[in-house]
Amino acid sequence: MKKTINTNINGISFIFDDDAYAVLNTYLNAIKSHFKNKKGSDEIISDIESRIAELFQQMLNDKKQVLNMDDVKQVKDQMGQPSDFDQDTEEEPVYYAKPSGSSKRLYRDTNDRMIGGVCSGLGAYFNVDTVWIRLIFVIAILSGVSALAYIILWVIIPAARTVSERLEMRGDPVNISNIEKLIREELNEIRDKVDDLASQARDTFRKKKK
Amino acid sequence: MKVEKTNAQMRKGVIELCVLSVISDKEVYTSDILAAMKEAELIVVEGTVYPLLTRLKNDGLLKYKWEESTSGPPRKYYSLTEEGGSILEKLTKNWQSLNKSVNKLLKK
Repeated sequence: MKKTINTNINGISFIFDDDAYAVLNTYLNAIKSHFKNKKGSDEIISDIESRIAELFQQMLNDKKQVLNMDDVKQVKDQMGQPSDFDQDTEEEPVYYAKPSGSSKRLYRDTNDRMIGGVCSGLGAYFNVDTVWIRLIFVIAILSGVSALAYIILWVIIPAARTVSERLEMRGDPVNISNIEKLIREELNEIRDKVDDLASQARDTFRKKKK
Repeated sequence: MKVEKTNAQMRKGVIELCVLSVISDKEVYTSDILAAMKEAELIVVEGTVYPLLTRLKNDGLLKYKWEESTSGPPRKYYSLTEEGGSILEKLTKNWQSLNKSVNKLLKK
């Protein structure tokens, strides 16, 4: 007797022995992390999953209703390891960064600011969570140190405006792959914000309808 | 020099041509593309084809449509776009002339 697990691959329900399920789950996660951050990753992953579902479907019949370790191994062999996937296709171009000396510079982070972005800039420079810097500033100002200190810093520290300045602020070398990474991160932030706004708008709309 | 590496590089160059040629002027189900490539011994594992199909689609050489299936969820059927067709033609010509040149050299 064996425990089984019921799972859904690409909209089809399958029953696996629990050891077979564990192996399959690890395999699918390896595929996902392999394609993560690559162009068209969602589509590639869902195509691969639908192929895997199709192969499993072909293994089942009236007499056989549970997929076991051998079935999972067979599908894995047929699909191949994620490390083999790119072997026959175009490789991602690799950019080599010129090693530059002290590339970290103090900027104000205007994308993550409460007032002028001084604290988040300091946080990035010293590699400390911005919350602690803000806390120190608030305590300092409350305990009598003039808020002028903040304003002076605001004036003398330049804002990180361009992508390369933002990379210098974080101490990352300015090269193509880092620029791409930073832009992608910021685009994701924007997308999340837009999604939030959209769902809020939907909610308000629904409430009004009622 | 590793033979496997050179072999892989040789395959890499022509595999795009082969996928386009398998599809040519029909609408082909993904699994049938896989079967044809495997039968021709051009691929070993199926996973390699998916990133390639997605890239060719994103580059505008392939398009697909969903078709209902009697035995499961809808299936993706690929076909060539106009651009894909003209690239297939160019690649085929190029391959034939390359093949001729290489064979000429090898016979010596």
